[in-house]
Amino acid sequence: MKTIIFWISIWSILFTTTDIYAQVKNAKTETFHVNGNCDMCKATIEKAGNKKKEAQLIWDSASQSAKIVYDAEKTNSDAILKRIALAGYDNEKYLAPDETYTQLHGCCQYERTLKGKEVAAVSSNHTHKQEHQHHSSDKTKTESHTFQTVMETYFPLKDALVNSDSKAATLQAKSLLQAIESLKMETLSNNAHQIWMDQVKEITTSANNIVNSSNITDQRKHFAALSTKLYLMVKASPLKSPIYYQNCPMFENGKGANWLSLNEEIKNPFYGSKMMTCGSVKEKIN
Amino acid sequence: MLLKKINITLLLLLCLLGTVQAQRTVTYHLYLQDTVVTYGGIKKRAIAANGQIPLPTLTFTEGDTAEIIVHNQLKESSSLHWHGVWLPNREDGVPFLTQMPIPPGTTYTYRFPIIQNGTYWYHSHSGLQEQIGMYGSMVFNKRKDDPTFRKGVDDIPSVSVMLSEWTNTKPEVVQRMLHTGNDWPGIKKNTVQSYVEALKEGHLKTKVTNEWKRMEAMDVSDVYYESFLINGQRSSQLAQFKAGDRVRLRVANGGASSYFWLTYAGGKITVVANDGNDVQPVEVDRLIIGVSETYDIIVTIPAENTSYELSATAEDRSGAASLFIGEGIRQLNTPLPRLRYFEGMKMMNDMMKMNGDMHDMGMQMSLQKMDMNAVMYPEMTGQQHEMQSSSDHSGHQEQNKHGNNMEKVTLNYAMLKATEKTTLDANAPIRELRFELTGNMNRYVWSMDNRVMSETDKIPVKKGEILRITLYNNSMMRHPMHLHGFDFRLINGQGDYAPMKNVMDIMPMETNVIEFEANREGDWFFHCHILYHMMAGMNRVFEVGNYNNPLLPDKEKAYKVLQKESNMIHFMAQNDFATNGNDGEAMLQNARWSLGTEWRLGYNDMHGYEVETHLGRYIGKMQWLMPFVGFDWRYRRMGEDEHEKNMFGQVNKKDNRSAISLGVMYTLPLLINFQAEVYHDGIARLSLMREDIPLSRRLRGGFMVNTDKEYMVDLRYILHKNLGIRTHYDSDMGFGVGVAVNY
Repeated sequence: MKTIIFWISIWSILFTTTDIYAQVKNAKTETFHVNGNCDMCKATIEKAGNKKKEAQLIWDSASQSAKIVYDAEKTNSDAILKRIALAGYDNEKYLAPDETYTQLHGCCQYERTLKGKEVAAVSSNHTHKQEHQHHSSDKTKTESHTFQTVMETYFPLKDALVNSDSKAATLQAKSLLQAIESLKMETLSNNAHQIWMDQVKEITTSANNIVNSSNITDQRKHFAALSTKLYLMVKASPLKSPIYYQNCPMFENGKGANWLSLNEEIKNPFYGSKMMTCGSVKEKIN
Repeated sequence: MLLKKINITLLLLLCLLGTVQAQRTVTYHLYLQDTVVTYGGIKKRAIAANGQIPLPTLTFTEGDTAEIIVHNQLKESSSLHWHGVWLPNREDGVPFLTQMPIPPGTTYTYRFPIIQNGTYWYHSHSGLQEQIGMYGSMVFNKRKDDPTFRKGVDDIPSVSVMLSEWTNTKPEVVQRMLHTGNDWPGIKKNTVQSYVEALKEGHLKTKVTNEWKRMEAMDVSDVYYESFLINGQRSSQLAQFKAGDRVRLRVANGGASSYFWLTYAGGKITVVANDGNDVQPVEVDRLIIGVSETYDIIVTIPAENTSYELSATAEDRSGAASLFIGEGIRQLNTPLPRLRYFEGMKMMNDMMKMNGDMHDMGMQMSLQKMDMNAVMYPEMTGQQHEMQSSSDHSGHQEQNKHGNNMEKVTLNYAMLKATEKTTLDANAPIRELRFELTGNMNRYVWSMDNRVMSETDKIPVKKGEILRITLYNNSMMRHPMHLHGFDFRLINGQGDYAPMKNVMDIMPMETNVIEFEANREGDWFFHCHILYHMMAGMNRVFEVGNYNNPLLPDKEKAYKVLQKESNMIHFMAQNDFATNGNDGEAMLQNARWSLGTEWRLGYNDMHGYEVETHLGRYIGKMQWLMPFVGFDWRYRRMGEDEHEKNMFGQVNKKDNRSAISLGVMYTLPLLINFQAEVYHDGIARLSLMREDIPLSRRLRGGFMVNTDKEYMVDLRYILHKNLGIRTHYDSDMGFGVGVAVNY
């Protein structure tokens, strides 16, 4: 029985490979750099590039490259790469339209390393906005020892992880610990108080673990645990501004992980720049 | 006496001095030759000059004298018109109006002083030559000491960008197909808007209403083009520019019938001039360039090692040409998605009255400010949907994103403002004129005030008079109206700074006012620049002053030829070679007259042979009514199927019958042809017929029923522009299957 399965699979492999070559005449093979992230990207890239009897394409995420077999009399690599770019994927010859890129699924929003460096005087309002946000969070820090204060130390910790800055994460986790210790229970509602008492031990442990971990991968693991606990608190004790409970489906080989954010826009703390915008909003807590 | 002599010498001297200072003659030789191009994937004939398509760019500086020597090495006559250029009438290049055509094998010299600056272009004004390659750019540079010289505009690198389109179908055939209502272009473009498609998209009612109002499928353009070109290429790159550079593009639309959307992947487009005239810089995200317009735009290259796509997308979105500006990797533009035709049809239904007039629903449209076609743009309507949904979810991030979308700026004429006052001589007499742009799609007749050019005389104008012309577009298509020899002020709300133009795009239902001082003598053409509209008769001539043109000894006769050229007779024929006989017709038509013969030829005497010939004249703007005289001939031997009596009880015993008739044909709602005919022997016949019901993209249905108790139903599947498979049932000849060939 096993041998039969073996032979069937051998045959099917042989058959499919010969099929690819049989489809494309005057075959010419070339390999090009094509950016992308995940299996979803792979499907889109290959679908965009493939054309019956004209072009067959295999994209590999590890090498960020696409092997293209095409009929040199019917088409050329330029046309194929243009199709791929129009589907949203930057490559050696073409950059995807910005609108198409932003419409890709969160998981597929790869880092656009092929984009040229912008010259002066074009983008300035972007950085400006970020500064503004920091500023406002600094201001509120001075207020009394409420759960709000705890969360105000959580968000900078998250930002440190977004920036893949392990040292900053350690520092922020320390101030989180301080905020946890100095939280005044009387500021909590009955319900929130109950939840706090149930969770505070694990919250403190997670925060401690972040302080004590030397590498960012471990810090992120503990941050995932921390976030789940704090989520329960946030639900019970609403903050001044709405909070977004966000999800990264890929963390820990597909187990996924969640975090809390002040912004609806995804900035993934679990992978940093590698998959900055990968993720989705699970819930908005007002 | 002596004094006079001295005066003359002085004058002469002055003239000479003038020439030494400014006059510089710049000469170009243009060798017109047939060539072969593969723009549409297969080899086709085109016309090139000096081996180039587009024709070479001609560059002059204001103050130069242009000398252009045309060597016509074609097998046909030709001409060149200098679009937007102020020149003596005899140099304007319109055969039979300002000169005689340049015969094959001869050389002809155009010579005129350059008295303006800006971006212009030139093209053939002979027949349909413009469609197959005869267009080229012209640049008139400002003099360095020109007080209007603009820093950052006139001193930055500039590139001529000539837009055009290519069809593998010979333009003469394109023109004939437009008149004969061949819907092959629609099939190729997938714009048939058939009943099946309407049903699928939930627009059946829209389609029925549309046909009820006697409209055929709506489109924003009529010709199928295999490819669109920028400087003769589908895609090309200007790699000489690098990050941070500002580039001035001198864009001219040399397309015969295509409007183009211009979009740029590297950010905003700054419009700095239009039709050769400076305008105050205005930043936009996109603009539409009408047929024969020119726009000077400035774009910036924002990042290193990147070239940014400037796309010229045909208005009907059937294709686009790309120009990549900069060096390195190519940043693409978001392609413009396919139009939503049924939305457009719905809009047209609302705008069209039963009598074929347009109805603007009190919107007072003008100056491209309200683009009714926007209902068909998925990128716009999509936005509206998202806007609604985002207000439900109330995410500030999302709203922000749409905020950006909303801010996308599309240029319109109201945004054009001249850099200097353009007011006309306040003392000059003003004459008001009004034209209504008219036409109908069904027979492809285009006219002004429902008169084609062959039905009108030249319009006499006193030299120095100001013509203030109000144009109202009462047709379903937009028209780029072009005036030869002058720039006109387009009254657009900018007061004294109204922009100067020589082409005005006018959309359906718009009313626009233009004015100009008719201070150059001669016969100046005023026409729609869509080549096939011009050739269908949408032209007028302003005859300014009493100009004596030495190139045209017999002006009257020449004008008659010109009139005839814009109302050519076209021939169409079709025949179904079917198992039960031959079914067909042949027609000769022009804008008003129709001579047609229909036949049904069986393969035996019992089925019979029948020929009907009609000579008729179409009446009215929409041409729904056609009275005619007819001649019928029939021979058959009656078999078992004897319907001798018609519905009126009249008996017709003759198997061999020749009859003369008088009748009338009228197009009813749903495009059903009603025909009433009385023969010399008193026998009457009424019939209803509808041909070419678009059932699906390629399937057409039809029926006929008449008071002779004859009827017919048919189905035709279109395989090719000249070929289809047809099956029909005919009460005389029975069931048949055959091959339908049409010309």
